[in-house]
Amino acid sequence: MQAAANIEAAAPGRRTEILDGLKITLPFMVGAAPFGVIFGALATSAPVHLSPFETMALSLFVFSGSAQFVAIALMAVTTPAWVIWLVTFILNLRHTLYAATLVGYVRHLSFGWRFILSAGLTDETFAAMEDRYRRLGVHRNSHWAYLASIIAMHVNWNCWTLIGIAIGSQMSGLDGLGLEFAAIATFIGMVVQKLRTPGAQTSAAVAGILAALLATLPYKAGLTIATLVAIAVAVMVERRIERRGRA
Amino acid sequence: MSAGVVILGMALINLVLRCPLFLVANRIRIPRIVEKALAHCPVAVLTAIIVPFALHLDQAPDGSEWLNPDLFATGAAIAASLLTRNLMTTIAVGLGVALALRHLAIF
Repeated sequence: MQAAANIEAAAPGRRTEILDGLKITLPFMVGAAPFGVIFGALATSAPVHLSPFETMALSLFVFSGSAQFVAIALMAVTTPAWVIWLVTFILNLRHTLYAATLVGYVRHLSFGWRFILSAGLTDETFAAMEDRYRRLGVHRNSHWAYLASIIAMHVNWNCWTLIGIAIGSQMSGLDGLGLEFAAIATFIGMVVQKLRTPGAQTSAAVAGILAALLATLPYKAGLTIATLVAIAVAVMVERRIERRGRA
Repeated sequence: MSAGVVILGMALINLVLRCPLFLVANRIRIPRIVEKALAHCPVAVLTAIIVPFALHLDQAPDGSEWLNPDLFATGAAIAASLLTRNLMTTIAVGLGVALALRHLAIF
């Protein structure tokens, strides 16, 4: 009883946890700001031409920068809906991995809490919270820091999207300038920084070559085939390297 | 199909990917091979989007437009990313080259 009371007393209060959650999320909020603006501007101008409502719906309910950029890049070249969904699925499969990593820290929480904390999970909140849980462990108020991180990212992302929509509608003739390259440049930056392992290099090489060779297939089937084959080959290459390392 | 349906579908897919593990929070172990495959997803799918875009294979599937401003912008963005390891610089350089080449109408 005495020991339990001590643990309770040692746990930081909600306020402290919320403030710390905001503090560790702030750098990610700054990083996401330009993307929110670019996204809002691109989505509402040609050739994508989503309405401001549709654009805000993406940021509010999909809440995934990379998937949102991919969606508007694919909408710009008139892609069937199921391909956009499939790409969203493949691209965001990593969130399942994030959830698997964090699940041990939220197991004790109520169903409602677990729903909110998982629905709002992004790359940024995962990075911030995974690091925090590893440093500080879990106690009875740590989920308030997690919640604060999610809300901060969500409000931030939607505010910057709104500003982007305003900018995009102010400037006519944004199309044809080459602005759509902003989304592709984002992807390039993300891929290049991950090319440090043989597995990632294999995956990129196979995906790139196959996607180019299969570009004539209808419904962007080449994109799907290239992605799945690349993942399979990369896993095989990694296994082979592991086995050689052990031998 | 309307954009609203596409967006609704994307929102549902993201919930399906993010939530089940937390909601069934008992001991779940993801097999190592699945974990590794998951880790490769972003690089594979993004590269499969970048390459056809850079070679303008959407506009010209026969590859006749491979020499275009976006190819050079892609090269510039890769170089910037390798040199600076900074995402914003990569976007600025890539976008700058894409806009400049289009404006100069070299192609």
